[in-house]
This record gives sequence, structure tokens and C-alpha cells, in this order.
Amino acid sequence: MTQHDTMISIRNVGKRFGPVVAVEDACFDIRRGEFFSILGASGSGKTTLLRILAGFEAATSGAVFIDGAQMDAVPPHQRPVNMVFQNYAIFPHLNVRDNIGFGLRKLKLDRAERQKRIGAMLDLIKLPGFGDRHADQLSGGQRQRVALARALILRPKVLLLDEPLGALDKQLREQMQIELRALQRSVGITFVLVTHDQEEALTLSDRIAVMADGRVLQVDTPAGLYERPCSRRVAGFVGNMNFLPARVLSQAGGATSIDIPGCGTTCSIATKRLEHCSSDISLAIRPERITLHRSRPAAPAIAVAGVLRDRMYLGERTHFQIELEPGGATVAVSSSTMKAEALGTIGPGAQVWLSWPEDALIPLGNE
Amino acid sequence: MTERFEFHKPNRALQLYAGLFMAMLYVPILFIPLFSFSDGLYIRFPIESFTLRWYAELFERTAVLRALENSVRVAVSVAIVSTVLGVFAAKALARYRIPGRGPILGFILLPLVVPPIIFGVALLLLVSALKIPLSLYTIAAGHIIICLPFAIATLLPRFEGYDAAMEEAAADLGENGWWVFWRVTVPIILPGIVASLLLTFTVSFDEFVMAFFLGGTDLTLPLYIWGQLRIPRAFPVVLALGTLILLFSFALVFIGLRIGRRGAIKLVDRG
Ligand SMILES: Nc1ncnc2c1ncn2[C@@H]1O[C@H](COP(=O)(O)OP(=O)(O)O)[C@@H](O)[C@H]1O
Ligand SMILES: [Mg+2]
Repeated sequence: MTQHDTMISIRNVGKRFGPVVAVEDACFDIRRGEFFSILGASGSGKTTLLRILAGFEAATSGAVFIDGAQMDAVPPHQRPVNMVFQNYAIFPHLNVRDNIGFGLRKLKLDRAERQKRIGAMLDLIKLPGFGDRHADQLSGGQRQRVALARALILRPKVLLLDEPLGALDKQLREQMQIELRALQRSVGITFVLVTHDQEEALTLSDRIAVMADGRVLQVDTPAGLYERPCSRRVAGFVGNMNFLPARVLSQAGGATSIDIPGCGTTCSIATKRLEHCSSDISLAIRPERITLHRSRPAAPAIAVAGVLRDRMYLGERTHFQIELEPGGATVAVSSSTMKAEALGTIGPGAQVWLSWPEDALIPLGNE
Repeated sequence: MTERFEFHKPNRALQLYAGLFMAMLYVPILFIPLFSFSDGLYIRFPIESFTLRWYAELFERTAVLRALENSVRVAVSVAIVSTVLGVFAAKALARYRIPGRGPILGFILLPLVVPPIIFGVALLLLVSALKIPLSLYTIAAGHIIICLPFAIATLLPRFEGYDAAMEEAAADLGENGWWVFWRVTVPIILPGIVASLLLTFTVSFDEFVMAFFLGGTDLTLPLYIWGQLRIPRAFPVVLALGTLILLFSFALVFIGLRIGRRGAIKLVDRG
């Protein structure tokens, strides 16, 4: 990646509030024009990191560069970023038009130009004719749009969004996700979005940073996070995941031989990623990568027996819970309902077999 | 018919108590306007006939008008100064994580309970030690001390009542500290500012003890009234004056409380 492609560079940034470490040694880049998300559970330090980018918090250590310029000494009102606040912070004493035009004062536009720009923003957020409404006459979704317009009218290099959809109900949230993505494409501005909702992050983002306890665990594309999580925590946080306890038997020439005690089987995986190895590891496997059979399948080398414990119909998909050994670990299997129907009417207690392609197993260290 | 259980049943005893309470509070005060319209020189029932002549006499006395002017000048200055100081103090208390916020707040609100006579004597000692001549200025200084807690107590809830993210949003949109204060903070707390101005004006306008200790030859209205009380012939005029002050104070406090409590904002609509 060249310097030119980087919009934000976060270099070893840390932040303490007294004894609380809110962000620890964050180090990653955000590319120009990218829709970037910071994903993490509540309290993981996402907001703090975003506020460091906006200039509301000073990092305790490290440095932030935006478009090549170091930001540490630059106050918020001089940074080329704008923010959509978690509860929108719409000015209660101004109507929609003056809220959106708030940042234009310094540009010293004449009246006509000012109105033109505000009108264009009102059209962009699909609220034409709402200019004279008061803040307290807006619904949650409308407030969110006004907050977006107010920030975007200044054409910032980066738009920061702190859980912008968190306050909306599910249906509106999904609609706004689509609009937000379309908006980002049309304005071409770098978006940095903070969310605790992994689905939202996966749907919206070009790339995602996963945070936990103030640390950035992995920065990757949605597919990368989903298919190649680098740790158990990331794997457990993004999507559903089964973890099978396993032991490394031998490692030789790019192939690793692994024993999976719970399955009574040994398998060999082609991988180069087990440097960290203690011999006890976990094998992660997505529920939808597992195939369910009523009798022992002939084709794959590995097939594991189990007992069906539960079956849940979820419309397009059907979920199964399989117990591998009596009283032992259960594995979640997700199958398309069509395939599940093909298995016939199996209920709890039925003997089943599981199989998976070899590349579905992701070896992960136990932290 | 069975009687339903009502948790919020009207309570007779409590209603009676509230009624008595209000009576105790306001009946004595009502004697002032009542006798200000009495034609006799003395406070005594039955009132024989009613008149407006005390009011007419009131406006012929230049000393009254001068005292009124002094009082207004002091009260206006005190209201402005203590409200401005109150805004900054309330902002600091509400917005910054100050260590020992509780004790500081208690200390600031202390003048509400310290007898004015203590403050009066203390300030008089200070002022004479510094050889500052007693005047309307020294009265105003004393009043600012009394009024500041009122200003802060009125303004603090307004600062605590809105999200600090408003100010961050304004900064984020390119405004420096001064402009954030002017374009966001002031409009949002404006009802509190108006309420504080009215309240502190009233407190200063009616204040006697501090004015008594710290006043020079220029009299404020309460001092003038005090002086007149020794002259029996002047008493009905004092009652007339008292009635007008009472009305005026009630009106100001009422307006102040109304604005202070209101959702705000419509007041500063720039539409
Ligand atoms: N102003 C602050 N003072 C003290 N601790 C704070 C402050 N802001 C955040 N924290 C702490 O830092 C941690 C991360 O908070 P935050 O960044 O808000 O997390 P998130 O946005 O991921 O929920 C939390 O433990 C929180 O309590
Ligand atoms: Mg947060």
C-alpha cells in the first residue's frame, strides 16, 4: 500500500483514564475512500478511539495521522473530519436548516449559496421540505439523517460515525444500512463507523477492526474475518462458530497432524499458521460448513458420529444441535432447509453423521 | 357499591395543612395592600373609607423616586454581574471533572444560609479597613455575594439538563471555544439566564441588611422605607410603596420561574 492510499494512520495509540486502559497500542491504517468499521462489545474502547480521531480525547501514547498530517496538536475544530454522534446531538434551539448549515458560517457564503447547499443536503438525505422543522419534531431516523447532512455538508476527508444506527428499531436500521452504504459510495468520503453489531459491520464495511478490552485483535475484510479469524475471540465474535478441543501431534513440512479427541479421529491439515503452538489448540468450524448425514458417508475421510439433540426451523435455514459423545461437546450445524428436508423427518435422539471439507477447520491457539 | 382502593387518594388532612400553610404565609402580607388604601393614619379595623391619596402622595416625593432610581441601578448591575459570574461557575461545575465538586458546591451555596448580618458586618470591616468610602458600589458588592448562589442554583440545572455532546458537535463543525459558547451554550441556557437575571434583580432590589451596613448617603428603597417608619405620618405612604414593590417582585419572580421551567428555546428561535 502506498502512502497515497492511506487516509488515517493510527500508530501505537494508547489511552488511559486513570487506572482504566481504554485503548492499548492500536496500530492500523484506514484507506482513502474506504468504509471502515470498528467492531467490539460495549466497553471495548471503540468510542474512545473514535474520539481520539476527532480530537476530543488526547491519546496517552502514540500518534494519529490524517491524510499524512500529524493530528496530535490539532484541536477538533481544525481537523478535517466530522462526526455523527451516538445520540446525534442535534442542536435543540435550531431548526433542521440551521442545524445542517451550522458549519457553513466560516465559509462566509451569501444567502443564496448557503440555501442552495443546504437544499442539496436535504435532498441527499431525502428530507426535502423539512428545513423548517424543529429538532423536537423529528423521528429517530430523521434526526440521524440530519446529523449526517450536518457533518457531510462540510465535505470532510473522513466521516466518523459512533453507533449511528444503535437507537433505531430493527426494520429502520436495516433500511438505513442500505442507505448509508449507498451514501458512502455516492459521496466517496472515507467513513469510519463504530458498532457493536457484527452483522452491521459485515454488511457495511470494506474492512473491519475487531476490538476487545481496548486492544485491536484483527483488521481484515468481512470475508477475511469470517473465513480466517486469527484468534478464538475474533472467531467467536464474528458469526457463529464451533470450537473443538484438539491436540497437535506432529508438524512437518507444511502439514500438521491433529488429534480431535471429542471426535475420535485424527486429521491432517495443510497449514503454515501454527507457529504459536502449544500442543493444545482449538479447531474452529462454521456451522454451515458441516454436512449432516443419516448414515456413515462413504466419500470423505473424516466422518464423526453423533446424536441429534435439537432441531430449529428458521425459515430459509434449519439449525441442528449434535452431541458428539454422550455428555460431551455439542456442535451446531446449519443447513439450508431444502437439504434438511432431504434428510427426512429425523428428530431428537436420532443417530447422525457429520462431515466437513478439510479446509473448513481453522486451527486457533487457546489464549 | 364497594369503595375502590386508590393509592393517590386525595388526603383531607394534607389539604387542610396546605391551606393553613398558605394562609400563614400570605395573610400577613395582605395587610400591606389592604391598609395602603385606608383613609386613616393608623392600622386599625374597621377601615372607615378607602382612598388612593397615599399613592398620589408617593409620586410627589422626590426622595422616593431617587431611592427607586438608586435601587434599580444597583439591582440591574448586580443582576448582570452575578448572572455572568454564575454562568461561568455553573459551566465549570457541570462540565469539568473538578475534584471535590460536592464541597465546592456547598461552599458556593453557603451564602443562602449565612445570615446577611454576618456578611454585612464582615464586609463593613473589610471595606473600612481598606478605607473604601461607603456608596452604592459597596452595596452592590455585598449584593453580588448574596445573589451569586441564586444565580448558580438557577443556572446549574440548565447546564446539567443538556448533553455535553452539543458543544462537542459545534466544535466538530469548526467552531472554536468562544463561538461554541456563543452559538450553542448561550442559546440553550438562555431561559436560565433570563430567570437568573430576574431572580437576582429581585433579591438585590428588596435587600435591606447588607444595604444598611454598606450604604453611604445614597439610599436604596428598603433603606428609605426604614427611615420613614420612624415618622408616623409617613406610614401609609410606606404601605403604598410596599404594595407596589410587592406586586413588582411577585411579577418578576413569577416570570422568572415560568421561563426557568419552560422547555426553553422558543425564546431564541432564529427560524
Ligand atoms: N471519560 C472517561 N473517563 C473514564 N473512563 C472512561 C471514559 N471514557 C471511557 N472510559 C472507559 O474506557 C473504556 C472504553 O470505553 P468506550 O470507548 O466508551 O467503549 P465502547 O465505545 O467500545 O463501548 C470503558 O471501560 C470506559 O468505562
Ligand atoms: Mg461507545
